[in-house]
Amino acid sequence: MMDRDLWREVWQTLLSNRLRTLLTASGIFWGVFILIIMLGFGNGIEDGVNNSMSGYATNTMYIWSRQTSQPWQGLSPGRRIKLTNEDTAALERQVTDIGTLAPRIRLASWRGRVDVSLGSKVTDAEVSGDIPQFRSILPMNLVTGRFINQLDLQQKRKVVVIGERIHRDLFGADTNPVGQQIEIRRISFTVIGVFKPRRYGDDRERMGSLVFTPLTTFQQVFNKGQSIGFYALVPKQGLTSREVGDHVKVVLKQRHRVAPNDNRAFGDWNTEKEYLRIRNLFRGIRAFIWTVGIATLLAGVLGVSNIMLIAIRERQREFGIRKSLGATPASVVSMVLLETSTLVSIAGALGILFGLSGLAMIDVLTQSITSDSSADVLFSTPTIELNVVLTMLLALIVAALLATLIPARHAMQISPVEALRAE
Amino acid sequence: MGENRVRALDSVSLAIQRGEFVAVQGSSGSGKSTLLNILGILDSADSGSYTLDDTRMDNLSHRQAAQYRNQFIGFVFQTFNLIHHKSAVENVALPLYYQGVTRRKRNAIAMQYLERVGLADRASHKPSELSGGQSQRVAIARALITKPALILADEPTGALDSQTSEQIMQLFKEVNREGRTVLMVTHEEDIAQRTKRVIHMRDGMVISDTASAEPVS
Ligand SMILES: Nc1ncnc2c1ncn2[C@@H]1O[C@H](COP(=O)(O)OP(=O)(O)OP(=O)(O)O)[C@@H](O)[C@H]1O
Ligand SMILES: [Mg+2]
Repeated sequence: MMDRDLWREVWQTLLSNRLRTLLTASGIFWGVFILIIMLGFGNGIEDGVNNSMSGYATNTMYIWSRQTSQPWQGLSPGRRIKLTNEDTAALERQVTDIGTLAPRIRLASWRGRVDVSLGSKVTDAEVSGDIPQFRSILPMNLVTGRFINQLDLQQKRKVVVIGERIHRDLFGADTNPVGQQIEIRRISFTVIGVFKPRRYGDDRERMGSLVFTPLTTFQQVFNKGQSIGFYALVPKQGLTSREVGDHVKVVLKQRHRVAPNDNRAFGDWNTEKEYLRIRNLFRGIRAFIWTVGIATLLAGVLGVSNIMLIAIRERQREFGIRKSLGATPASVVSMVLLETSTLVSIAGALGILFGLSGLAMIDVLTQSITSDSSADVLFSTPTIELNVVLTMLLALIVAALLATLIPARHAMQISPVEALRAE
Repeated sequence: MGENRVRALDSVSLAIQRGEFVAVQGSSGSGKSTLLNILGILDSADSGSYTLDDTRMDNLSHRQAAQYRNQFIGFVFQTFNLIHHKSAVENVALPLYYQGVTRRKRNAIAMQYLERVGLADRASHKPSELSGGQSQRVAIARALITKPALILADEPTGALDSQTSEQIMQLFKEVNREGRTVLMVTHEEDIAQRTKRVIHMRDGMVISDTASAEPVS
């Protein structure tokens, strides 16, 4: 019965009952449209938060040395412990829980700054000696050039990677500084890269003021010998930084002849709390999106079902007429089902089309802020997975068909006389 | 209906021959419509039997019932029962749709029937644009289009003025003259008198069944 004549019947019914068609269609259209916008927006927010939090969301531990507080093996307390390259080598050998170990050293004390200059221009910076791996511990976006690499380290090249603020202050934001020389404590370094930190607010200014040099170069030119200032480390997947930090300290205590229970000899700080807080934030956002999404879909399904139920009731009399003229119940049911599926498919497709266009429009409108990684925007390109959309549409179609089939079959049980009596 | 059971029809025994023109009369609530609906397989009796064209109609499947309604019976209602979103010609053609006749062909046939009831010029009008008499003529054209052997009309002129009623009556007489059996419920005595046989009902029972005095011209 899927002939052109049946289609004509379907079209005619749909077109002649404009209000009902419009109501049903708009129910489905809005359901799909809102859900797409909602989920897309939700994903945009999630990605946005994800992007902006990626600068924080590492599970990092910092460990530095201090003074002993207890006598041990004939050594008196108050002894200053100095970390060296040998400690690094020992840790790499002995502590297998470590994912990334980055020995670091600074020119000034904690958060202290020193002058860096270009000709007569001077600004202040936090200068450190680092290895290439540090980049995975402190997420950053390279604007131009590159980060320190293994060759820089081996050849003790006098190169620096500078933060965006240093770049701006010394060169001006529009000048490419790569290849140019800057001076730190009268020693010339070649700029090899500029980075933007992936952090916000005060942190952003501070991190934009960082200047990275190769660790080996730093130790040589600033007369630090084999010294290491402190360690930054990330544990292997699945381990907490606290556990790994404890292992590191056991090894360091042995190497430096520190009493095992001397808790003051090494200091540490980790980002675990921060990390957990952000992870929970993500879970919250996810849960919210899904809750609202499912609620929207449910509302759509209920709305469409409702309209279908009413529509069938309204058409009782028409069905009675058709039956009195010789329509079989099956032919009436199949006609109504075809009407519903046609309507739902068209409205659903339009909903998808407009929803995706809506997302594209949101994307265009927010482009100026989302594409600027320096902006404090917790929003990114809104996206939506195709299978989510299709699943959703399928659910609506099935619901609408059921909401048609059940009352339509029921309507067919009624004798033509009764159906004709309906108003 | 629970305690208030109504016997709409009670011990009705009736035989109608092919080609008869019968009027059913009786006061309101006497069971005229119920009788007609059962004869039209739009309703079924709780007990008793109905034989149409030598076939028992009591236990038909949905499909068989649909087929009889479609091919054997033409029903005309007091309230016309046209489908409001279809034009006159489409309404007339609808029974042929359920016979699988192509659109072009059935619309052409429907036009002939509209012509016959004098409404060719209103073919594309919707029921809402037609007068009561015009609507009933469309409904009659629809009832005739499958060339059914039996025409059932439940107060076809009940909603019409006397002049229009006269036109409709002429149509039924013509149809009957073609050899179709016509059974018509009517309140109006003068209309009943123009049929060949009048059945009187009261409280669901047939109380008289007489050949009409006045011969049909
Ligand atoms: N749907 C129904 N439910 C219950 N009783 C009904 C129903 N339809 C009709 N009846 C009853 O059946 C009896 C016969 O009704 P029917 O409609 O056949 O009468 P009628 O002769 O056609 O009357 P009218 O001239 O008013 O059309 C009446 O007593 C009526 O009350
Ligand atoms: Mg009646």
